[in-house]
Amino acid sequence: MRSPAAIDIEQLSFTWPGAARPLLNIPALSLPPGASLFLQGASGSGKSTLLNLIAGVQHGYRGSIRVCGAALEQLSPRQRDQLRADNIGVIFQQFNLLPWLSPLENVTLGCRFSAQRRHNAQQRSGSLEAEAARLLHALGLGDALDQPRTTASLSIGQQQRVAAARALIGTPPLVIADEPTSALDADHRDRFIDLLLSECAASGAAVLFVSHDRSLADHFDNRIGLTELSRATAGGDAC
Amino acid sequence: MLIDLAWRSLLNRRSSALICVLTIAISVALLAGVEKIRQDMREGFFNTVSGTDLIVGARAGQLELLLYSVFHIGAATNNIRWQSYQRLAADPAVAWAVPLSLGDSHKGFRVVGTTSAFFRHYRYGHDRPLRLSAGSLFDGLHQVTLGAQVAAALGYAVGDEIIVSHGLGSTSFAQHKDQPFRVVGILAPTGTPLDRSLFVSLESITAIHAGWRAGVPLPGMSVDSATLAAMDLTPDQITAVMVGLKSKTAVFQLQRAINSYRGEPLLAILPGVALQQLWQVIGRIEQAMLAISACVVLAGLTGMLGVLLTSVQQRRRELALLRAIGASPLHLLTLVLFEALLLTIGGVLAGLAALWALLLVAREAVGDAFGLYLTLAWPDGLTLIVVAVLLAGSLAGTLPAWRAWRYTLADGLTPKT
Repeated sequence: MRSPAAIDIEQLSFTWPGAARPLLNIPALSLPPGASLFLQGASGSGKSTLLNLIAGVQHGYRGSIRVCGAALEQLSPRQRDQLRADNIGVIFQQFNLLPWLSPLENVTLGCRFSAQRRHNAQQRSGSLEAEAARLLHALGLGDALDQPRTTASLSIGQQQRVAAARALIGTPPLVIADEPTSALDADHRDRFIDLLLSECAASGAAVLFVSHDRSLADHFDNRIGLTELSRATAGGDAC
Repeated sequence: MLIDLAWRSLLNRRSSALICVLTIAISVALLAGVEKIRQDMREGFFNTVSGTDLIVGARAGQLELLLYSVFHIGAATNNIRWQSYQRLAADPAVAWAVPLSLGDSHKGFRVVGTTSAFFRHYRYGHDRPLRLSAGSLFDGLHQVTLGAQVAAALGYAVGDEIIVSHGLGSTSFAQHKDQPFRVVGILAPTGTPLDRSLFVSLESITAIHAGWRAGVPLPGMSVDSATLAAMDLTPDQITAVMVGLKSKTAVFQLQRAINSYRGEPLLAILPGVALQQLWQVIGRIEQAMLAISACVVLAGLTGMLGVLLTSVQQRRRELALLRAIGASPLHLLTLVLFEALLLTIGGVLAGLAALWALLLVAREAVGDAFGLYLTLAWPDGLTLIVVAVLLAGSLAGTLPAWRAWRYTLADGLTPKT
């Protein structure tokens, strides 16, 4: 059986209440399972709104958004939260981690709201902690595990890798990365993206990578600019 | 399942959390302490005198008679005749009648003239009789038995000699110097005003006033023991009588009979009724104390509200992060509510622990100093207070929890700070 597309958007239109023109107007966008997509957009272009829509924390749109086969507009807010917990790993630009949890606990936090991901993690390594440790090792953070360190004492690059491990634990079909490399220098940036993509490939997760920085686009299977994608800003078609 | 996260998050903010818990603990300890004192005071108060059916004195106010005869507060305006006492004691309905003669003191402690029947019939608490902790009861002229607190406060032991003063002030100028008393016994503590009293025979009271007129010694009228031995020392007057009946059913009939006694104006009161009346006056004060302590708890919880509101504001990113990994707004509301509950529970437990530790350490000192005997028992009203504080704490948690809910809905995945 073929698994459904990680993201499948059709005729999406989103307008802020009271705004004259829609912020987003996307005829079609699809991310096949296991694929990676680079979405380029300047700040204010509606990037965050699009991610909020896909993650199911923003509603009030027209059209259809399917995440891993489920049409968000047909789900209750509670079901959308559960869908996100089960299927989406998220990496932010910064403040990805809870400083009062250890790095390992921050990774297992990714399974906290999803029985399905807990189950997957346990299947894979026997226990949540073992799976978290496996991911941290794979992401080159073995040192941080061997000498237990507080989350706050990790470098930004290390913190982003912990966040990647959290996004990947329990093998969600979709990883959303929102400017995860903006706080890193060029060298670390490329290393982080390669590491993220290879781990996502290893676990079979599709990646939606959002950044303003066009130079990162070469790492990905597909790339698209939000401006080209959204007819609203391109053509001014306010239907 | 969120409670461990709430706990870890609080640990991370332990200094502000600790202050929060401390504030609640202090206010809860205060409130619980007031309730504890209230209950034990009430218990002690109603247990001051038991087993006595009527108290009889000269006609005055009901409370006045209760205050001077039982609590040894204030003074009688009038005495009653010895004949009236004899008539009363001879009444067929009366099982026993104990005369009390008040009006003298020793260093601020009241001297009670009575008979040995007092020790046989006086009951306090739940029908507890008086016990001696040392020596014996007075059994003759110029012998005195001390209340526990008198002996402790003045450092008296059996065999010591003391001088009784005329009148009730602690700096009375008129002293019965010519007739010193010997301490023959000390009573065990009772937690009643008896602890602060000295007991002598009625005859001793008559004897020390021999040769006195209108409260002052007549010049040159010192009485030696030979003269005293020859005198009839039966008193002419006493202050009050405690009466026990053969059958409780006769109490109202006898009370009416005494109150309409033609020989002189008398008043008979039922101690229980009079205590109840007095308590209504005192009870108001305690209720005010309780209300003030409740306000202190409210202040403590308001402090917690402030701390939680600030923390929710500061933790907006944390909440957004938890939301991103799948937490629903309801989860985050619950998380903040749990924190409020943990802080309140911590505060309540710490407050109660502190109060009981204090009780354990200080109750003897309080008993000795104030005659207030505190027990370690859980007061009835406290369960309700604890429940009320926990409810109020959760209620105080709803505002920051609601704000967390609002933030998570507004912020989506990225906080707009």
